[in-house]
Amino acid sequence: MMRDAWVIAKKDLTIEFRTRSGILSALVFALLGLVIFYYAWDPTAVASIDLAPGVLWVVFTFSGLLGLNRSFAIEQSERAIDGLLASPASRSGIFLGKALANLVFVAVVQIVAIPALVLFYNFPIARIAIPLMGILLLAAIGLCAVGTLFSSMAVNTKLAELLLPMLALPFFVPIVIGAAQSTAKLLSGRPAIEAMPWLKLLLAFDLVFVLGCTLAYPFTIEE
Amino acid sequence: MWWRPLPMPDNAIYYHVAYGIGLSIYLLYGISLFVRRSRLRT
Amino acid sequence: MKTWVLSIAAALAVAGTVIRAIFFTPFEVVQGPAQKIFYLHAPAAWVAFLAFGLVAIASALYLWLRDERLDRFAESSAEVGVVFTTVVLITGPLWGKPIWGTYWTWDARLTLTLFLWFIYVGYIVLRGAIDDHSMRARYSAVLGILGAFLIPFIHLSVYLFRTLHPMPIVLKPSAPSLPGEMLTTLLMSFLSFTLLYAAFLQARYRLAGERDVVEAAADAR
Repeated sequence: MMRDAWVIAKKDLTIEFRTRSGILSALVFALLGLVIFYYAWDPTAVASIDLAPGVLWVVFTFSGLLGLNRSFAIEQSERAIDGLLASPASRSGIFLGKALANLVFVAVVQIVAIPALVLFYNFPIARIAIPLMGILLLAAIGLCAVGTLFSSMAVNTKLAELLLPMLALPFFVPIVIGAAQSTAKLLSGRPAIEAMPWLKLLLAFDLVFVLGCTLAYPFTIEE
Repeated sequence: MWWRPLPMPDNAIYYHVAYGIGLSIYLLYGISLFVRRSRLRT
Repeated sequence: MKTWVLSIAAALAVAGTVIRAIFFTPFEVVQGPAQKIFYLHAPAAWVAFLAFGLVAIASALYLWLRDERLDRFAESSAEVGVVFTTVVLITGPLWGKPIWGTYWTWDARLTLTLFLWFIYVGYIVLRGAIDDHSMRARYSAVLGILGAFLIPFIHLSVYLFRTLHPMPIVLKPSAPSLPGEMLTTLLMSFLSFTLLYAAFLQARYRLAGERDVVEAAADAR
């Protein structure tokens, strides 16, 4: 199953690397988001450092949705998904491969977006770089698990990509709250122990929904 | 008497509005079920 | 005429409860007339949770047994649940304004109810966006189950959010400890609105069944 997942993830990432259309639009979207959010607040009333965690996680979620939308849309042309399902790869393997590719996608966007955040918002990255990576990974895993499942469902509906945000965003609520709050705690120099309840929440979310979505995916496929 | 109970707050308007809207929602939903079903039969 | 029994019983029970709540139940001294909103608000919240719980159970059973009736049941319960959630969300702020001093507060329970509404409106939109019966049933069953898993997470996150942020003491919802007469009215309201849920569910379930028959006949032609 893990080998199937790896092959599928490699296939998706190769397509993404060759075309670069999805990743570029997500990157530009993330940068634009960072800039626009800066102008949405009065800088004399709210310090940019106070905005940074919220902006980071909102941009993270919405640029993630861009990538998730493409994940199964690329399988729609010439019914490539049928070929995938007919292949000996297990259903769970297909799901995990897709989710893994999305995880890499989200990570690449963040690798560009976080330096931009450091630059634009005067974000003191050095102090919290390592715990922030941990939060990012936990948040990205949950986001990709839920997002990949709903992306696979949304492409088969009449509303297609319009449906994904409506289905997925309520599920991203605990991720965004947990990630933004733990980032804010770390940023304000509070002891790391105060961020622990939020990190536990993220970890529990990941465990439940990676397992739940992997088990649920085979049910969404025509028998 | 130096002590007297506080006057009851005068907030009946919220109570009337809440009952008005809440009960109309149930009524309208009931009617919509009825209408949808009779439309299906024609 | 048998089909109308439940609807008529529910209508009579709700009418009786509302008349009792309005004319024969005294005002609460501290909260005043606005306290009577509780007789509408609390049962609606209970029914909403009941309805969405039954959606999750019916969804799980559907994936196991693949019986179309379970899918229709989940569809009906979700729609009726959204109606009751809408009532919760409208009556809650109308009670909050005179008692808490503000229509909206990011109180844990209020926020959770709002997200419940979003999840199940999404559920209804998802159903509307798929024509194929089997696919619609499977997709919505998956969403119905995952939605139930999500609820504790949302509750926990908004609860942690609230407790980690000190809130003014006036915003704390007071647990109502009611004297006898009011308690009787409240219990009656729980019973009669649960009956109303059952009546709506029955009517909506019949509608779904008849719609499927009409659609099957149209497909056969």
